[in-house]
Amino acid sequence: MGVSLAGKVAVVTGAGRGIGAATARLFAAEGARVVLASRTASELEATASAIAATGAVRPLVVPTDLADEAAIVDLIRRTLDQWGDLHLLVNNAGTFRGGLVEEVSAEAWDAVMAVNVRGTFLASRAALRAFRTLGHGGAIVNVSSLGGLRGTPKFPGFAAYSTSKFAVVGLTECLAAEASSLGVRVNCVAPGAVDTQMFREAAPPSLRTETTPEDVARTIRFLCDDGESGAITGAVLEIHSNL
Amino acid sequence: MAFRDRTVLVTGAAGNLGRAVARAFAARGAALVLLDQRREALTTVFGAEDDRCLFAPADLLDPASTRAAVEAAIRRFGRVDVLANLAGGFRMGEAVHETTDDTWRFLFDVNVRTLLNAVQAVVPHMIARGGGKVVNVGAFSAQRGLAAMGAYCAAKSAVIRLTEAMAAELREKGINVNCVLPTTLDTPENRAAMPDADPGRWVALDDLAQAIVFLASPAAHAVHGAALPVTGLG
Repeated sequence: MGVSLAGKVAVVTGAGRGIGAATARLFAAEGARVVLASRTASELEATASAIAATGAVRPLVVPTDLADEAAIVDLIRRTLDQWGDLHLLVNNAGTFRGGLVEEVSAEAWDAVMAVNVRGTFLASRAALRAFRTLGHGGAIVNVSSLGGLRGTPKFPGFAAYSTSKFAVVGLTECLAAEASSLGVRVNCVAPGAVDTQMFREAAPPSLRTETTPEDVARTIRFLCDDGESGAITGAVLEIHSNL
Repeated sequence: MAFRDRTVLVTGAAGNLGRAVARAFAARGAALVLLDQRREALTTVFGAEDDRCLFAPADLLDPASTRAAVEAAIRRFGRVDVLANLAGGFRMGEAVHETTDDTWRFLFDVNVRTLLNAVQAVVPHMIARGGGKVVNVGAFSAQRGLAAMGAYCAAKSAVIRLTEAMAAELREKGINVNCVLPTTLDTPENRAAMPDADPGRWVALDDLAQAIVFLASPAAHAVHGAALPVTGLG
């Protein structure tokens, strides 16, 4: 490990906190030129400043609503305007709305699908178009969840989130099949409980997970490094916590 | 040199994948214990032993022989940090209802029993040390049963399920257990057997070795029970 991401242009969504921020920090520390996208500009600025303070290249901050098609097109356009290139896309932005199927609102359901699935699709589409124009390949890493896999425990109240994460796996496999001729690898990580704000808000307070955002970031990094995972596409890398 | 202080035990070391995996770990500083049936095969592939490379001929179908090899590794290096269960084999062609006893026994012996004997010999040491990594080799094709490959899919499925079971058992003991699921490997034997196929669509041995090294590395310390497809881009 070490220098394989140096100079690579990486767009990370949901980069204001949690797994996205940890991924951005890890990539920037290796010399990647990072673009931070999420809805909350203040969080993005804080992440960017913290990265710049380490001496790494200051990330480009692009506040983006991942439910907004035009904003996502703009995100990739501004990446190309700033850095002139694109190599990596980490579709980490995700939203969680709990609620039993009998009770959850259509609005909440749609909101989860809009960011977790449609947002991943829109960003991937924009990235693939960019890769084609740029004339080289790259890598996309999506973020699913153990709750998006068959055979894992399913918890009441998680249907919208889990369903969206199943869709992320399906999208990953389809993208991998379509994009291989472009030289683009597409994989996803499927973490369980990770110590993030999203988890703390979704889970009972007594539940503590030892898996850190940095643990997930390192796995994402592996899937972005052609030298390490160059033969891997369409894969789901599960990350189990102590829970 | 992520494996500078690590000892890696490779089964099936004299095989095509074994050579690539041993090389990959050695390049990252690991001490190697190379386990295969015949010392001559190890000598042919690896030349001579040295202070960082121990040959450990053993019959992986014989628990006592396997244990003796692991004990030799412990005596030399004091530890086994990584167990790479590469020993395995492939046969296809028989429908399930025509599968011979010989085929069934062969596939389960070389793919599953070798794994069981190896982990029985190695895992207690890892538990005592408080950590370790086990990487197994499943098969991409074993994720669903396939015609004329029922027995093979069943044997490699057993590897995947045992990987998951071991991960659940050993996670809290600091031991990561994962497996890779390769498609067809680019080996001289496969090229000879399938001369009309395009080896560019197969998986290069070095690429599979990289995935195995990753699963054994500190970067994967949060990864448990994973079955990682390695399919190449073809």
